[in-house]
Amino acid sequence: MAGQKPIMDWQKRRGETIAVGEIRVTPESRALTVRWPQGGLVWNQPAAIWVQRDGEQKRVPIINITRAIVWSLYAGVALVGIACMLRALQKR
Amino acid sequence: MDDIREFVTAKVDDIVEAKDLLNRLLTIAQPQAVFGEPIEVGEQKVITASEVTAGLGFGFGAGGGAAEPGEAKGGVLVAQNGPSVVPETDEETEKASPDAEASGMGGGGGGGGGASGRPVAVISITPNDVRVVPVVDQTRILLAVLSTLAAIFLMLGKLRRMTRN
Repeated sequence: MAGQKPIMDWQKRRGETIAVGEIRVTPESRALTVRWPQGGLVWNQPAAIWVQRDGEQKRVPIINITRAIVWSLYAGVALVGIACMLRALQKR
Repeated sequence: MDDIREFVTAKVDDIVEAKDLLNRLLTIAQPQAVFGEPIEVGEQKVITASEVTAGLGFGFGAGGGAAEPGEAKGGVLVAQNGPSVVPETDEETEKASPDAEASGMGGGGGGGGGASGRPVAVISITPNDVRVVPVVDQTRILLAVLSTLAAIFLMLGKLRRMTRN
């Protein structure tokens, strides 16, 4: 099985560094790769940027605001659902 | 038979091509697929950051088999206990013999895939500062709000009916 790629892989990778003046920025992405003998799936998203300035390196995360809002809404619905169920059980 | 074999072998080539396509799909896992090429605006450089999803699936199959005695083969019907048509020439005798080999092979394949991309943020780099500006997908949020409200109203309605009873 030597050389065979893993079925599922969750990796962080850094891209090429971009320099503007004294600032150097390196983008970082995280990718989920699922592979099976007759197909595959890749989900790749930006994770952060590494900013290097005056000899210091700082990680600035890239937040997917849309996803955060959407999942918060779904979590809210789930909480309301649980509350409704508990209230119905209490009244019975 | 050779023609059929060639056809099936050609399908093997297609599997190789499909695997090549799968390997190319995996290059989407690289950061270059997510971060765009820097765009220079004066002293400033702008990079777009997007979320990318892609999937691919394919399948191939091939098979063959020999005809049972009694099945039509080579245009001559072969009876269970010998030929039903009395052969007149040696060639016909050979064709109609119950021991004669009659077989067939076939193969096929199919596949499908899809990809989607959505901007997540814009990175602005100036000689003095770096800013990450998030991109908000208003349509997606609006759809989520509407489906959330619908779910809440449904649950509250059900709760009201349950408490009345």
